[in-house]
Amino acid sequence: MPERTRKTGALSALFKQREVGLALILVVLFLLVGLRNPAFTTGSNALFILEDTAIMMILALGMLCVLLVGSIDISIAAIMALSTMTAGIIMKQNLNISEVQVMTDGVMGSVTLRESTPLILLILAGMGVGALCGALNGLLIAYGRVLPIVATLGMQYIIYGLSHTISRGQAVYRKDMPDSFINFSRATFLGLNSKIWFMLAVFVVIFIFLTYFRQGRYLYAVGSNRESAAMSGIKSPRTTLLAHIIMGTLAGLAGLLYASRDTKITQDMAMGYEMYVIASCVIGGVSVSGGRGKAVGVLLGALTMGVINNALTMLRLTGNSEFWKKAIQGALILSAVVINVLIQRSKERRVLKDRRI
Amino acid sequence: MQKEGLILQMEGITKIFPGIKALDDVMLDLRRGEIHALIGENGAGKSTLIKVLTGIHQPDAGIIRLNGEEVEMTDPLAARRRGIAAIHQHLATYPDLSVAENIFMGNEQTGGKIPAISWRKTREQAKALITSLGSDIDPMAEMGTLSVAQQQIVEIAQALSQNAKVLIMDEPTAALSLRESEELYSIVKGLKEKGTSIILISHRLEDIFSLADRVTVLRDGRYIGTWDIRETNSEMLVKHMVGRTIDQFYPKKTAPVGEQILKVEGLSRTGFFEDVSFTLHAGEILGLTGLVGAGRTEVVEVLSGVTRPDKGRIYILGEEKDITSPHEALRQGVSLLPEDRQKQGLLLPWSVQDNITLPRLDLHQKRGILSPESEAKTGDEYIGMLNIKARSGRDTAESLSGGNQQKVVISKLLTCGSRIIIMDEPTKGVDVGSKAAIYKIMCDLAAEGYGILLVSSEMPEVLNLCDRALVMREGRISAVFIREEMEPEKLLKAAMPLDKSRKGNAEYA
Amino acid sequence: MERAISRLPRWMKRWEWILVILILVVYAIFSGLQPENYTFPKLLNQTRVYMVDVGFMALGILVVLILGDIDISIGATAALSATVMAVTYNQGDGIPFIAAIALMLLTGAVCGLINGLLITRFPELFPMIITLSTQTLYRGIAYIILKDQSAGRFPGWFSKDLGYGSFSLFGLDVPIMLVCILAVLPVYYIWLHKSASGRRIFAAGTNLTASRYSGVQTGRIKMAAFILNGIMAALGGFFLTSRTGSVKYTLATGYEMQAIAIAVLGGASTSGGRGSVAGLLLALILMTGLKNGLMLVYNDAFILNLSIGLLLILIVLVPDIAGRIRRQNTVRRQRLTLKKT
Repeated sequence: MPERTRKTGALSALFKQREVGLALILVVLFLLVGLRNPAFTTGSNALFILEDTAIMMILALGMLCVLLVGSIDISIAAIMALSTMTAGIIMKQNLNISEVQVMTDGVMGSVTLRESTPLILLILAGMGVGALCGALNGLLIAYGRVLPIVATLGMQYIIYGLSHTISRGQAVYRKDMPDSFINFSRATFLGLNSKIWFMLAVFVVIFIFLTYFRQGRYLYAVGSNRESAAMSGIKSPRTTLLAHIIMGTLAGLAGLLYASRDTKITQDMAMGYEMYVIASCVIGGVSVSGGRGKAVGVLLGALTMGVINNALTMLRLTGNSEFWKKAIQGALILSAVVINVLIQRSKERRVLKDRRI
Repeated sequence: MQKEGLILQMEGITKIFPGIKALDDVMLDLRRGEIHALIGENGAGKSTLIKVLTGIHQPDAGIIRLNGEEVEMTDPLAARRRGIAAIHQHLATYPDLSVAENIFMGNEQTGGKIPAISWRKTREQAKALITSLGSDIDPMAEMGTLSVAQQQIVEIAQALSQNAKVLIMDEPTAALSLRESEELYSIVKGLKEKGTSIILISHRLEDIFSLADRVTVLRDGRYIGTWDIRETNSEMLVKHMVGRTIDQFYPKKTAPVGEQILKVEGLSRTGFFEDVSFTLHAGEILGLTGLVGAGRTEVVEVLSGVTRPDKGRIYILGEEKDITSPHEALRQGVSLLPEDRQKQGLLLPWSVQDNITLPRLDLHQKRGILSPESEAKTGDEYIGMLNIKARSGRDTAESLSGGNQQKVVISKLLTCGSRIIIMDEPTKGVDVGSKAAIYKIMCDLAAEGYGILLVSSEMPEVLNLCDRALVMREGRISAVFIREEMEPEKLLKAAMPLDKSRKGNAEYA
Repeated sequence: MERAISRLPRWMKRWEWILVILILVVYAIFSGLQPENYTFPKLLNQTRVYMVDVGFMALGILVVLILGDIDISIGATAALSATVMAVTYNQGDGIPFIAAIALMLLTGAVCGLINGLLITRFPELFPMIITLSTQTLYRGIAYIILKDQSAGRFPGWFSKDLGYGSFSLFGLDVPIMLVCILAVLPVYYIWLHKSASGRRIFAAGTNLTASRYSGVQTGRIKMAAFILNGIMAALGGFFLTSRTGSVKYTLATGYEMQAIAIAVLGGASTSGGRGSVAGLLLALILMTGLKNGLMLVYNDAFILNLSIGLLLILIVLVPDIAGRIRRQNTVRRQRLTLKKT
């Protein structure tokens, strides 16, 4: 008996990884939809899905850190709004529109140049504000010992309030944005959209942080067993704070990309987004009670959400209505999550059966 | 100040918890390279003393000297840095993480100049440590999937990785088979030879006699004495631990055994126990013993409706019953005193009387509204009857000592009027005085015609209280003894698992 | 000071007194700032905006919070239930209005039932995740039924008398809506705080395992609580509709957070085992006074949001910090007595 288990060891070890199972489900889903609508399986559509989900992936990677320590953040939409609004106001105030004469194909033409604060400063401002919000969340939860749901719920009100006041209730539209910001989410490099590049960068950073850095591993330790962590000399409050700062910073970045994509910044941008982000994590195998979850899984979870979303459009089951889609999406997320649990349970039952007493 | 060869001295250690003096002027010294046993009844203060030594608790008085130098263990990390490592009763591990990572958490292996963790180095060093302990656990296995014995080896490896000079082991063999225990002890002896000093807490006196050099006894948070192991014998140690001789401690049970009230036939729950059959009679105290993890708690959980069996029949007063929930069990006349008093037995922030009335709120209703007077009356009644030390029924359960908390849980059972009472480790973490009181209550109940199923790991309890004893081993009942046949060696032999290697389980470490 | 406080009788140490003080402070501040507009009769009239619909939803979520669960889908439940009512009544062409109301309550109960089933069958999933999903589901169904339209035109008594009607009592105009919730409160209070089933709810929220071991039927209690919560959410939607006069799929968006905030302000804890009907009523009054005053003085949603958020966090934070200081002091005193001996 032992010999046989050894032989299949490598393969079964591969399948034990949750992420592999999820990837398989994803491929099957992709192919099934492709049968109905071949356009779905084209490479360009795959890229489109990736581009479409990139923002959610960035947020989900941040949420992963927060969930790992056993916390949660439901104020991310508010953080996105506030950090983006801050950047929006800066760009609006410094906006400088000029007509420039340019020679094109031998013909003199005029081009409107829209310049403002350098993009990098806008990004830093947005991410900085996000980090600050995250830090406040973290302080309340880690040092104030307010339950994460209550703390981030309260912070959500406060952050929306702040964003309302700095904008005086006004939105920022395309006319207020410099070219650099509009291009922020549209530029391509090596044929890939900038959102994908940003997502990949965030993924690599988070992956390396969670895999190779002490502070990253401490996120797992704190979420897995808080008391043991204390005995290992890990400062749980500091680790929790760090997780929330990461979440806030990434919410800032995601907010800017979101605003640039939609070319408008409003109070209610991304409202309700937290649900999709948390669902991505759960589908991706992150435990809401902490200590479990991988960056790769989260990416696949978000991608599953993206594929579901895109498939609903491509299958034209739903007409054009956005909410039809959302209703089905809610049901699909729920089924995905429930199926995950059922698989997990049957696995446990099998383990029990094989167990010697 | 330093006496020759002493690595550790603890003097005058006192620790106060709200309402209780857990340690009162306790001392302990440890020689270099010795195995020092620390023994005492449940609640004697052993674990608290260890927690003070490892910096989890701060003492309210007393000093700790390490190599003659006075030190302060401000936090667990400080203790670890000074080379004190502990393997706690409740394993302090990260179930979601790998073995290698568990070993090096907080002490990560980085690869040279950059601060990044080197997983290769971590894995190799973990492998080396585990191999040095004579084990072949896969360093990349997930900690939560290992057996308790394997997890303990990982914890020892962790202590070694930090160059521990003092290793504390709190009940390391409580859940181990005989072979596993032997393996663990050979590891411990090996460490001793290499000069590590070891504090060993164990319930098994025979282990202590075969391993330890000296022994220190605590009782009710006080220091009783330290002896060279050659100067003592087990009778003497038990006397010091209990503080009186056995026959004073255990009341004489006189109740006659009556009719059969519970019969269990072929009860099984996959993965936990198999084919369990026995009977319980009115006026009987039936012992159910065996090692931790042998399936005792799981059996009584099925009987009290907490979990459902896969197979088997339960007859109560001759009638077959399907016990689907604890609610149903209470209605059928089966009450359980659960193993974990704080998590399963009590609502800690609630008052004593609210706890007592919870199972039978229907008795205190008047036209659908609860009557505070009726509840207070019942509360006071039981406080008086069981001599619960509380100022009033409105004291919160968490403000009581362990023994009195246990009496509150017993009160809850009594309000239900069940004839079958199951008690799962009723004296765990209870002081000696309350222990005697609980034994007396049990005998009184038996005399009144209740049938009591006593789950216990404490040999003296089973030997002195029970009319019959069932022994479980690996999920099955391995032996039944009547009172006259009960002997410690026989019980132990029936409880000890057969050598697992003979079953051809090669993957088992 | 500390000694003095600890000697007070139990009923005086209750959380509710802090809310009473806050209410008085808020009233004093705003009636000082706006003596013309911030008057009791005007506040009373405003209660229909701030106290009734959200009050019903808060009563529902209170029970869920006491159990240590949470439900994010109550706003969506309200929207779906009101949609069902509006569509089946169909401006008088459908079923009688009273039957439509019954259907509305049934819809709410079914929404709650689904939540309860999922939560008791899949405890690994956490109520938060489940109700976040059902939230989209319920609101999505409302959208499928209504599309972008709004359904209106109800019987006159519903949108006029119930929505805007009031009657005179001691020379004050008391909104009829307010009477509806005030009539429910005492029943709710007695049920939750004085009856056996109420006690069992608190028990299950304080320690689910120990309660189950004590014979409390925790699964059934949870189901019942979520069904009740769904019905209360439907009632919230009902009163909100009578005030706004029409139903859109976006009805009661964000109300779940308001309702949770009210319940938490009133002394409920999201970790379960704590909560009070009296506290909830006081929290409703406090919110009415605060929102009204802030709207009068600043007429700005920002200050409103900011204050509610701050209040929510501070009110959770302060007792915890106070408790920590108190515990430290106890230990310090014990050490002192130790040194003396």
